[in-house]
Amino acid sequence: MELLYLIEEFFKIVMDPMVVLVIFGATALGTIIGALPGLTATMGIALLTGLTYKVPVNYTFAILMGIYVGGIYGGSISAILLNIPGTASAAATAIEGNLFAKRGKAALAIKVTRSASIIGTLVGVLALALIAPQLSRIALQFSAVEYFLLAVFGVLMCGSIVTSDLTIKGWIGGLLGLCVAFIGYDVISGAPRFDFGNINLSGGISLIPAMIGFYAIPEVIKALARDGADAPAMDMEGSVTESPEALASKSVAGGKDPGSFAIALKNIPVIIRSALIGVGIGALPGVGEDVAAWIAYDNARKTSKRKDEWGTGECYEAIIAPEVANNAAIGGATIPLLTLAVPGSPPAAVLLGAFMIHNIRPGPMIMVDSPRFIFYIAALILVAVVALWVVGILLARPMSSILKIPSVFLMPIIAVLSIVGAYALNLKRFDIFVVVLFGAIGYILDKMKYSAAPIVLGIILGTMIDENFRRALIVNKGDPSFFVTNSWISLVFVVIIAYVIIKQMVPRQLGSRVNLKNLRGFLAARRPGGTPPRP
Amino acid sequence: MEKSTLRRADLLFSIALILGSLWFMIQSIKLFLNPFGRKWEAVPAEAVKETLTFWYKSPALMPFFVSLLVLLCSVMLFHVAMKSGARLDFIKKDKIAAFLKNREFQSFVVITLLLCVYAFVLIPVCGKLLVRIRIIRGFPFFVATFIYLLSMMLAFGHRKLGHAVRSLLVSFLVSGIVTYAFGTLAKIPLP
Amino acid sequence: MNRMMKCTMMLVIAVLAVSAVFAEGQAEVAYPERDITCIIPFGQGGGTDVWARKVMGSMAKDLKVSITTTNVTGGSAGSIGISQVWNSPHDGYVLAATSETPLTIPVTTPITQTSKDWDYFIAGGSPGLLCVNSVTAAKLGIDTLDKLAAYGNKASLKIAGTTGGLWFALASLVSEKNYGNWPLTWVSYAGSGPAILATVGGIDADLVVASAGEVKDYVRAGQLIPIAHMSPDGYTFKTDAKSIDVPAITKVIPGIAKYLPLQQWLGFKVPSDTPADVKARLTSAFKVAMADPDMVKFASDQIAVIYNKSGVEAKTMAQKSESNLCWILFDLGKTTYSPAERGIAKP
Repeated sequence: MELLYLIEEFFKIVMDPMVVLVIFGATALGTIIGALPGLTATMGIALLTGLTYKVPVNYTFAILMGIYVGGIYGGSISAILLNIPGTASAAATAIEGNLFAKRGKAALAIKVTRSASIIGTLVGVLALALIAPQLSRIALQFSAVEYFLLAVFGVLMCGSIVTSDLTIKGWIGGLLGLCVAFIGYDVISGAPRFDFGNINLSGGISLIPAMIGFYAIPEVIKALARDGADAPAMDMEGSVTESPEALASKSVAGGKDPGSFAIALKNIPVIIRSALIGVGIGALPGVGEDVAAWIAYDNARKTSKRKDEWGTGECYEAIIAPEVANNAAIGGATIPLLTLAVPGSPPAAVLLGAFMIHNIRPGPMIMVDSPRFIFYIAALILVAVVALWVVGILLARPMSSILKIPSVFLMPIIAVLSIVGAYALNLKRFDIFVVVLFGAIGYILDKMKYSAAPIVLGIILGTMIDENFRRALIVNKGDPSFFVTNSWISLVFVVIIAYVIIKQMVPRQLGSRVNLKNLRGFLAARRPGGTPPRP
Repeated sequence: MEKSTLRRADLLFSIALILGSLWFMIQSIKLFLNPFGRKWEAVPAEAVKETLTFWYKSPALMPFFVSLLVLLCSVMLFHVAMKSGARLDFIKKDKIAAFLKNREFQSFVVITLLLCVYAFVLIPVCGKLLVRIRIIRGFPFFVATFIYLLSMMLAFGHRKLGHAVRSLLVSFLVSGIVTYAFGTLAKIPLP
Repeated sequence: MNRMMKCTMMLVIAVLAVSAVFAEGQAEVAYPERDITCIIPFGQGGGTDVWARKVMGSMAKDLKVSITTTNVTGGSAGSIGISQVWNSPHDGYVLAATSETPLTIPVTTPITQTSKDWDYFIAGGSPGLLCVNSVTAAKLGIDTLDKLAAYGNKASLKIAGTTGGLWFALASLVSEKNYGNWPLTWVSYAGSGPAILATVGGIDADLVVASAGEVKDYVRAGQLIPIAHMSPDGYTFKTDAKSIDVPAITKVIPGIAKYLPLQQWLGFKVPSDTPADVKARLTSAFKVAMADPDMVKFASDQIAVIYNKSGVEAKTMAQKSESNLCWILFDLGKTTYSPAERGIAKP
């Protein structure tokens, strides 16, 4: 029945060529906004909400949903090409995605993430249209305890993100990220924290400027510091992962790329798991695409049958999982937005504002007041998926030719975009300062082989851990035993977390043995013919 | 970075982290006792007593715990670095001088400095001086961006005339596009 | 490095010199001659945000320029956005969207400006209601104010909200020792949306104090029951199907009447030393916007009262709220500075 409504709304939209055109344009614009380092999906929606104030309502939502879908996908393009995630949710994609680009397979990787995004968005739409009421009921069962455990689960990932040096550096990075997140006004007590009387610090360090600093500025420095900065970015050598074997395999695989959907089909189990993670995490109020992408990445890595491929620039799972999840989270995040009037992610928060301005009040009564609205929004996303497919084909080639621009021209432009983007989000001069400061710190940390990923993860999850831990204790008057006994959801979490900790800690000592394992993986990758290039 | 150099850097960084985490811990204890940052004499004994009873409400709880974990991790890092033979033997005049002359380090300093000049000198100064010119929205930003882009491109490119001309063209176009697209089309306030 | 520095210096000097010539001779014209920016100190989708965008949209039509609304969030009580407006030129081209919450900035942050330093334009606001989750209400038999007042084990009840603002002050009037002295447990959330949701879920909280507009749909869906109006008067909650009579909180806790009314209001403000002609133009545009039929419909959808106050009237209202809010927060030990040292009178 619900499926019929969805199809009906879909055809109603398709019947109006103007709306279809608008969605195509918006999706393309969203992709470009998402791909520009410094400009995020959230900002794209906020921007267009302001600009479309006077536009008729049926176009407004077409535009906003197009931007949303395009923006979340677009973030992966710059993550792959430049190792700078264009949007927070693409940070997990950058880890492996950029290795593809370094091996000369940028265009293929962009195609694969596009297919992944399309599949993910589709699953999200179906969830939104078919099981929104059920999912929002489960989301309401999440209390502070479950949110806390989910965040702990996320932080535990720090130990398993691919690093080229000691595992403990992942932990240190994650913990430092948490410390950054603690700065600023504390919601529970209303107290200012670690602001030392500084009004800017009392607002806290925002995620986006910090992320731009950690990713974009070190890339700028690294590219320009190399000799021959006038050469195109693609031909730059001397990176850690560039081995003769990899280059050799590049020429082999570069000849004929397998179809991106064919690659996706080979990874069906990963796709299904990631899509479910994306929808589920997205449906939780306040937990967004970025967390979904990380958890899917971690899940794919832990369950991978080809673990030695991770970190070589050949592992499709590593880019498919986060991209499926972050796009599936769009449909997921729209569920609490429409049924509970509480956004599931930062972009959805902006959407909520847009709804209210146009006198549409989402909430528990939406199925009574305007029963078709959910299907209308789902159908819009569905059209945007089609648009993404077309736009993705059109944009893949020109986008990957960015790598042909000499870095002496490209990198200063990225620096300017970083500054503009960081400022435009919140209009704070302090955010520009954050970009520059964290950029310098990020470069030094990068030299010492600390990955930016766990730090950003720490910043994302810091408040969630801190607030929900104390909220759970307050609700239960300081007695911590309920972390296990609260509900079946929390029990499942505790079991998983305990398993992950035991698996990470017990079999190997933190220092030397980890080295050994990394070395083994390293050797396996270097052994001539050791890892044949995957199709 | 070579492995031995990396471990030396680790050693130095672990010491910095140990000190940093200790400082963070002290700040957390201060926050625990006086969450609203009042003058110490203005903190009533009653409030401290309440904090101790309701310890789990304190904003300092997680920061303290996390700083403890950072301390633990940095001690481990120190241990790993020491075990792989790193010592603080590199703090010598000639080594530091060689480090300072390193091309990559110099580029790092120049890029960071130029970025600072752009963000904290060029943009505000142009903003103050040129605010009255309204050829396009965000003209001061255009000027600041143009100067920054050009100097970056000239500083890191070839010393040839062709490159200089190209740089001039590219930076003019890019700053124009960025200013127009953001300031006029999208109506984003520019810095 | 030298080459680069020289380049930079030369360019700076050249460009600045050229543009200084251009800069001469620009005459002032009547306000507004260019686009206006409205800074919203809170996040998207919240009450302040939605109202500001609506009011600014209507005012832009009358002022015949476009008004860009931007969210500058962070800090305690929206202090970052508000201080950014204060630090901009006081020329009427940067407005601050506001609610009653930023009135607590002088006692919670080092910023010293109080309501004396601002001129207010108060559009409207929604009444504050104490609501109980319907499942809890049925289980414990506390679906009316009288029954809740008589309920013995109040210490087991949890009340959700955001620490520091209006709803916190109102909830504290009920629960704190010096006021209502109902020993409820306070559970804090990042905004009223999450707080309401936690109450609806019923796991983390049983009660919530929030605006009628925000809880409207949950009341209609039967998930929340409004049991008290946080004001000295009763209130009739009208939905399409039924109307619910909500008694005044002072019916069971008469002692807090002197702190009331303490109500939500939303609108915008400009620094007081903005030129008088600019303020007059803003006032007339504001009046036109408030009479817009679209605005009236919007307010009724939000179950809000339109206040339409500016000038002295609005300032008096702001000062009363400021005094109440700041002193209640101070009594609760939630301030860094005392209202006395900021020159805020005791209620």
